[in-house]
Amino acid sequence: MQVIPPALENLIEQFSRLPGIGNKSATRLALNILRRPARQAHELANALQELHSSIRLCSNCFSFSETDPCAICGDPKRNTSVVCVVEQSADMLAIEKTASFRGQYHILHGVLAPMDGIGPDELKIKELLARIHRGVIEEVIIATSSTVPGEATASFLIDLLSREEVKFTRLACGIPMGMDIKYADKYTLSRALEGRYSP
Amino acid sequence: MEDDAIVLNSLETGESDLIVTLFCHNSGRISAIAKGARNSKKRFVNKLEIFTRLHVTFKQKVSTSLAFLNEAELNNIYPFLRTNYPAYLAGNVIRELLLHSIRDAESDSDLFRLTLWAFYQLDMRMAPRTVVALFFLRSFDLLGYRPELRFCTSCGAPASSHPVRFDMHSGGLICEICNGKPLRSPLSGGSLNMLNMAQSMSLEHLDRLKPGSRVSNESLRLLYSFAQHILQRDINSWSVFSAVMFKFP
Repeated sequence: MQVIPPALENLIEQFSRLPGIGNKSATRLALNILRRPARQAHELANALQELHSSIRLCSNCFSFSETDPCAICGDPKRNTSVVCVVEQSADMLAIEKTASFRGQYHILHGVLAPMDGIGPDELKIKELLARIHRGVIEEVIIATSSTVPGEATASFLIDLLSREEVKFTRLACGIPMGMDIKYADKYTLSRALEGRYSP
Repeated sequence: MEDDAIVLNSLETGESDLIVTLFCHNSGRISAIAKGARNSKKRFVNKLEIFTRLHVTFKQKVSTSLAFLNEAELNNIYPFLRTNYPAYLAGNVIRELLLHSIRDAESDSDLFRLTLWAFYQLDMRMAPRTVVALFFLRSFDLLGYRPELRFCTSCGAPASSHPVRFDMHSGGLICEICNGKPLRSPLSGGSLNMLNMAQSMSLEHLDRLKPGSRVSNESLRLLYSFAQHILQRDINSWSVFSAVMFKFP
């Protein structure tokens, strides 16, 4: 006997494919949409439908954008000789919020994760090299996270970039602002000491 | 409960939680939820990453249920293992083999010690292919699949008397006589010697083995095929690892 109507079951299944959403959460979301006015469900459906038709990857930095080149790559005031390499578009947004970087970006779309079958060929690494070979870039800032896969990806990029005629730097790693050094773990503290600077 | 543990896997769940798979010294493999781990500025920050060695405190009602991680104290993050690409790949092959071969709540302190040895050696810059080959060989022994590398598994003749090949099904060597036809690519004497020594040496002295790249590559390929045979599945990390390791002779 079919307890849940097929249309509702289909929506639950679609929601449960999203990260962090289990069957229970998917059911709750689907029922919530069902209880709301039909207009809101149509608006949601339209937003989902437009997502892939209107958003594409910028052919220069590979960020999600409605235009190609994206707003950052098309901005003549940005410094085209410095490129910041990040894992995901969300990381680019985090750096943009600082307002202290005026160069361009390169989005890798992931990190090296061999258990998930993600090697260098699955990331936008060849595209980064192609950008470097065009000769405009003078410095590459490797801004992958300080997680294990982020560090391993940075290590791979450092090895690759050391064969290219380009300056490359790695994002500093150390104590967060406002943190008492007593509470920092020994590895973070050691990295902070290694990366100390003369003010 | 308190235990020493190695983080084998870490998955994000909900708004700010993590589910970690730990290989514990006394409790074996456990899955534990770390509530608020991605937001916590005190308890878990940066600690629950793969390869990390911890001292953990957790609660678990039934040995096979999801445990609740209370605290984690950092023992070692293996800095070189996480910042060197070949070492990172080797570490991934090792943790994937463990994830496929150890079961929940079955403690194996020897395998735990071997894993610590492997991560330590990778961190000490031992050749990644050598570490993986030695880890494979010694872990097969601990998992009950010790390969027979001294005698022919069919006639019992010493391996030194005839050319030999490794037979997956019997889990040991087959000599040319028992094979019934000349062997096209017999196992080299160098690899056979290295594997025999690696089986018999104590873990404390295993790092003294420094095989050449030809012996390492041959041994590693053989042991990986045997791992596939035992697990009845591929190790996903192998394709990226082998592409880097076998790029140069």
